[in-house]
Amino acid sequence: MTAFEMTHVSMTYGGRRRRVRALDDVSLSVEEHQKWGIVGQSGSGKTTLLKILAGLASPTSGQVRLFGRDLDLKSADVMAELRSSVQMVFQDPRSSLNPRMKISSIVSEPLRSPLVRNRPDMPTDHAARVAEVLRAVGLPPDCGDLYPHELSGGQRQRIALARALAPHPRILLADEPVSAMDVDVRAQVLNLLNSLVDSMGLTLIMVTHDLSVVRHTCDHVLVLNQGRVVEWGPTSTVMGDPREEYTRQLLASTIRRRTV
Amino acid sequence: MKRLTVIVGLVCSGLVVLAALVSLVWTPYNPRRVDPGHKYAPLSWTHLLGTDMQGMDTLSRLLVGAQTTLVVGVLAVAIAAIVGVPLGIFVGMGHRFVGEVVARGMDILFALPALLLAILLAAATGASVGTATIAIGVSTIPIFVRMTRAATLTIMNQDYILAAQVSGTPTPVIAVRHVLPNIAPLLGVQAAASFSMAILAEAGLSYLGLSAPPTTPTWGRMLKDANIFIAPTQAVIPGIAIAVAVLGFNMLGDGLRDYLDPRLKEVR
Repeated sequence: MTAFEMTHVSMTYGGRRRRVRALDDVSLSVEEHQKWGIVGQSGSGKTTLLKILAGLASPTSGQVRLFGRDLDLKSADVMAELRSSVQMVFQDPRSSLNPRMKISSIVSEPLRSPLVRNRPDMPTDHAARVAEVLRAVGLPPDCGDLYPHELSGGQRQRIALARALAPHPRILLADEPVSAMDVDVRAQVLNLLNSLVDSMGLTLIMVTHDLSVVRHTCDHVLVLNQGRVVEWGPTSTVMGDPREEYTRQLLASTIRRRTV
Repeated sequence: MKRLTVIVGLVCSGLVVLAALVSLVWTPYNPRRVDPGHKYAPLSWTHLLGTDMQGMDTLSRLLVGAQTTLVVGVLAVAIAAIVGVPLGIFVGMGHRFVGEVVARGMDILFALPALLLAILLAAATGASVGTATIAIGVSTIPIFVRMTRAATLTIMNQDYILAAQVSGTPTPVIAVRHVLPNIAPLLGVQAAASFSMAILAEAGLSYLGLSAPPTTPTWGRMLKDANIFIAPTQAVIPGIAIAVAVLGFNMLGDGLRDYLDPRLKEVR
């Protein structure tokens, strides 16, 4: 089944004087259980794309479908489906975790959402579900009484991951989930994300500028440059034998950075 | 230095609160007892701070006057916060255009001083503690709206707001669960600062006879009734009281601001 489908999606920001075209005629089809990496340099429109999928922004033109249904942000029915099946992990847990909330209430927040609460398969025992997901992300279940600043950076991102997984989503969106971490923690968090997505049978759409992250985790990749799709396909094909000059440059730049 | 500010602030504002509390149970004399035989008495053991032109005991009036000062201050700040904070959050979380419209409206209200409002209200219903409180409270609303809006806009840029939206948390819940707790320290600081402004404004209004009725002892009225040529100490004493109260709550607010500054928090 097709999880997400974008057809000819464009997005422009700004007023009359300065218009910024963040996305320009982007089409993308994500099948269920696939793991997509959206790559590109900063300003390529990859975060905008994720925001549209998360229902945080509406495209200027084009169509977005979630499980075959038109993603109409004004329809309560569609929003209920979106909010209960799509969750998101943000880049920096220092900003994505409310510093004045305890870990347990941060993780249980999606469970308390009125759009999710009434789903029949929803766990009613929030405390038990919180303990369960905390264990799943490799944290002691009794850390629920702590505040975010009492944890390390890697642990905080695990909390963000636990929050996203708590309401049993089918699709996980991730915006540069490891780029704010120290290098040694990155691999840990990325491995965890990868194994949880596999074991729970989720669909992953991850935005990153780091091609090594894509190579490690994703089976499909979409390359964006200045809001336009440069190239897309299975990771091995795109990265093993890139057809476009821009992709080659992107690959070369990461390889150069490695050797330095 | 910061600690000194907080300590001086606490001591000064504590003195005012203490004076009001003591006056509830005990004053040296009845603050309303007129004693023509002892008018303009100097400072002495029988009248620690002397007496005024009607022979009323100044210390007793000073202690009772602290009540009016605190009540007007608390209620005025409460009015400003109860109206200003929800409005500021609503405007900060809402559409940019609505925010601008309300902000400009607040600028207009800001241009209307408490004194003018107090005169208007006094002319309409007669001067009382109530009209003074409402006038000071209403004229403080724009400060709270502006501050709350600015703080809310900063919080709305945080990813935990987006995370709450992605999980379908309704906007009013986001306001209460995420925005309010994170702007609360700033609001506390603003409340302390506004409180000292309210005290000063109340003293000004009662000096002009736009606050409590003549029978109620207030610091502003004591200042006005004092005859600077016959008994200058009778003007100095309420003046010092007003200064101590304003300074105290101002320094308390300043100290709190430094103490709660998020940039300093990171270091600590």
